[in-house]
Amino acid sequence: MDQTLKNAKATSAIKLEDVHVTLPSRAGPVTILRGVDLDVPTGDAVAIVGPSGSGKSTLLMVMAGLERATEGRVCVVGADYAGLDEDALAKLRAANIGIVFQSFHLVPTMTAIENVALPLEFLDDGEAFAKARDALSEVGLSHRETHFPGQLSGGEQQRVAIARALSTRPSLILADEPTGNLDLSTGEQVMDLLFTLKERTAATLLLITHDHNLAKRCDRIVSVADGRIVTPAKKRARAS
Amino acid sequence: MRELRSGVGGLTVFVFCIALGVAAVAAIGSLAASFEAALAQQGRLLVGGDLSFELVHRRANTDERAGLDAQGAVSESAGFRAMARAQGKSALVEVKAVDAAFPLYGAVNVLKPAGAGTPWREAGVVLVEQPLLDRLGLKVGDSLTIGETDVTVGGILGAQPDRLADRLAYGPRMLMSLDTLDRTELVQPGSLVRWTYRLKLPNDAGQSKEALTEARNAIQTKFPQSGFAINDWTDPAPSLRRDAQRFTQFISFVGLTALLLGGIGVGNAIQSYMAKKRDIIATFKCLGATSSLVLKVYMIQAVLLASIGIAIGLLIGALAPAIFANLYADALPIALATEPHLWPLVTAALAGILTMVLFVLWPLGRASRISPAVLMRAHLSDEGQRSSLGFALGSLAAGAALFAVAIAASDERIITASISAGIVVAFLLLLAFGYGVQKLASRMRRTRPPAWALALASIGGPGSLARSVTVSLGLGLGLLVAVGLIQRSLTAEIQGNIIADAPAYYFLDVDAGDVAAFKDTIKTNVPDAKVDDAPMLRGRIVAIKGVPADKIQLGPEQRWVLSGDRGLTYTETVPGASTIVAGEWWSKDYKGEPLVSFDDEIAKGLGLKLGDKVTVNILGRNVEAKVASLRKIDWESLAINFVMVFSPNTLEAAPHRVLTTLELPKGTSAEAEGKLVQALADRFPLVTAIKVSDIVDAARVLLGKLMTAISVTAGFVLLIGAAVLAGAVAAGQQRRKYLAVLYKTLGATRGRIIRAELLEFGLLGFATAILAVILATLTAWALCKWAFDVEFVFSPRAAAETVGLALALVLSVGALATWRVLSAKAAPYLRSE
Repeated sequence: MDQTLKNAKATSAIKLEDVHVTLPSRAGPVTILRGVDLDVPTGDAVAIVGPSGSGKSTLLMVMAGLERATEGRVCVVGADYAGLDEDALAKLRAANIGIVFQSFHLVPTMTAIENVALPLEFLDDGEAFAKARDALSEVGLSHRETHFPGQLSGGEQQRVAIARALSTRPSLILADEPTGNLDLSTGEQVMDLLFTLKERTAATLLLITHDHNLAKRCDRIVSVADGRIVTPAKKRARAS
Repeated sequence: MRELRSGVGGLTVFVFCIALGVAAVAAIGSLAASFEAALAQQGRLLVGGDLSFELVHRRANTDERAGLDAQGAVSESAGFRAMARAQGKSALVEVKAVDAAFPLYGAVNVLKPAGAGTPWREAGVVLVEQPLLDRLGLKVGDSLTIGETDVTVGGILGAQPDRLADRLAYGPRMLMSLDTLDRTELVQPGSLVRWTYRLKLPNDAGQSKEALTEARNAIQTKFPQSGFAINDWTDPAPSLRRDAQRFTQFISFVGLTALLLGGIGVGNAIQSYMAKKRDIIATFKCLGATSSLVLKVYMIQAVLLASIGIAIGLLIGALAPAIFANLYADALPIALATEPHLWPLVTAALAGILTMVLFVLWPLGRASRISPAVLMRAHLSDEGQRSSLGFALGSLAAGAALFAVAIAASDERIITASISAGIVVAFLLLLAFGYGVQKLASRMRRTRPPAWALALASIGGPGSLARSVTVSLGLGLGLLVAVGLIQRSLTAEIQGNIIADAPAYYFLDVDAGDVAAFKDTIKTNVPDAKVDDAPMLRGRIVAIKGVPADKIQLGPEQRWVLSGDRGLTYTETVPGASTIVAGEWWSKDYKGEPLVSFDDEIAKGLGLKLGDKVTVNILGRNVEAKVASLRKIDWESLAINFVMVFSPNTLEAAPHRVLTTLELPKGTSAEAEGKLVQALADRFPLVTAIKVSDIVDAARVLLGKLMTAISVTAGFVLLIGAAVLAGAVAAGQQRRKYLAVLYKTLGATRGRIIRAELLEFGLLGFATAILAVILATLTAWALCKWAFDVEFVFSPRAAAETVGLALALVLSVGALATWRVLSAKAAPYLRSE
């Protein structure tokens, strides 16, 4: 494990300054983010809300280092992305960032425990499978270790994805509509689990959601529209 | 058609695979047809007349000649081997001495000097092929000695009629007149000379098959004891034609394998194409399209694409004879008929269509039954859906029809059917192996380090490439290794076992009275040389157990025994390198009815048992002998041996010459050897020396050419396999990109992903190569043991080359795929919409 990266301590878990993202398309360049400034202190839970196409997911991709900002500065868990190449970003993610997607994105050719162990293996952690087993136990899926994603329900798949995201004990959790593909009750259970684990690990959580009730459980809500932050982040009372 | 507009990306492989498969079948068929057509078209030139009548050892007597003359124009020629000598050097030549009527058809091509006319008709003037001049250091106009006379080289001999009818040439050819032949004194009683009488029927009657049969029957009836071997122009070279047919039959299976492999590529391509069309089909259905309409829409597309592929394949096949004739004009025994041949193309097109139906009907049937509900539920899997039994049966029927066409087109249907079954078994075996590799990888998936875990998970998981790699490359690689190993074994047999024990020289036509002097000359020059000799005659089997030879039905393995004249001898004692397995050898002073000892295997093939009677025509006389014993002969020793050995009282009185072998002690210098051969040539000008290593070299060259032809076809199979693999990889490329993006998202570096990808391809290539080597080794071993009867020699080099080739192929495809995978952007794969 990269200790330098792991130990990176910063008062801001995420700091975005005037971030622009313009992508090429057949119809010509499309500007998706138009000067985003955002500061998320370490340990906070922040919800990003906004209509479809407003740039929420691109914002998450930029924070995860999966999309490059065309302009502006991106600092996440103390690292300035400008100076990092693709591999350095991958290592940074492995050590510090857990990501949960709406579509789960589990590796279909791997069992639940293999999926959870994967980021640990990428960190060359000798105890990858032991830790993965603990992580699966934390999400209540010990009995599903050897099942393939195709053999699990949607809720179970998302719990495996959460176990995978948290297995490396990341300091930042990025979640993109984690309940979007789940029914109401399963969605609630999954979010309870996510918040519980976030509290237990003292990680920062950045949650993209359409669901205002869910957003209200976060410390702050940031509204995005047309590639810009329209509501400055404001501190809310802790929901739970 | 409108639907086709939306793009047929990914179907390039479809067209490519069917084109290559059809090209293989069409090219092989066309080449075979060209060869047969060439034999038919050039039949008269090849025979040198409408009919040819051949005698060995003796010239036709006056009555026979008169009988032939009564049928039409006759040209007489004598063919034999002899030594040409000049400037202290000697060389073996294939001599043809002809009369003034030669040639009846065609013309002799004199390469140099231009406009020389017919110099060979002049007594004391010969035409020779260039290599002889090179060997003896001569030029046109110089003289050389042959037999007891000096002759002048009147020009360089080029193409000539009836070249194919002559035997396999061991040396350069020489053309002379019969007058010149007389001067050489090479024709002595019992000399190994073939006298050929070529007949041209009057008024172009030779066009009619009936007239040919009539002429043939007239001679046979009039001279039942003559022992004429008769050929007519409609089948000028039966043994060559049979050999070519057998070779074509074997290589056609390689072609069929290529076509089936191409079919797998077609099936893969159509499956991944249909997977992409899932939503479109579901939309069609929501709008009211029936399953049968959907099936029709896509079947029309498949047929259109297959037609393009088949057309390309047929074009390549039709051009194959012309291309081949251009590239290998010198190596071919006759000029190929290069115009396109209809039937092979029709067969190839039919085979192409059946292959297309075999591999396309089922996936299309499945796709046509997609539920419209997939539009509503994107994650709905169509895995569980199966096309109705009808589609599966349709595919199977097309497969059965394909093999039926192959079997129907073959002369030996049982062998063809067994090989067809073998091809199916080979495919199933490779498929099963691929499945096994997948299962094994699945079990070993927890292996560390992570690159291995990722590779094994990919091989072991759903969408694995294991079966694609094993099936697409296994057959081509296996064929290449098997050819390599068989060639290695045969060459080792020739080089090691045969050359090591074989005599260095055969001497033909030693006069019986000269044998002692001949041996003395050898012993004087090389005292430790080993010399062996045996009386040598040639004769044709004309009847077995009273049944005339032309009425006896024999398998291809035995046919050669009756097809021409055979060497035979007589001796008091059992010849060396052979052991009696049945019956008894005659006593030293045996005087009873004629007895013969037969080669055990050939006797079995001919259905001969002890006590049966065999009639052999020797020097124009039919000799009937009783089979007294059967011998097992070690032919590979190349020691003097004969299929038929007679009791001395049978043949002693017949005029004959002696065959002598010379074994040189180890370490004899080339100089001493040359001196000995020259001394013999000087003292015994009528004796012909044949160097065994020259014959073996000629055999090795011929073997090399055959093996190259098979290797090229096997290489073609491998090429199609690579295309199939590339198609399979391309079909799964989206999935691989998605996984690579996922790994990167979870923290994998590019290096780690490259290692995992190359490891996956490398492991699959390696496993396939190992299986190919094992299967090919078993096949080659079995063929060496039972078909070729030689010792199997494993070649680590051939195996290593195969492993290398497999890795190179798979890793090239893998590297290309990986490069594209790594360049994939993450966002499009991870967004929910």
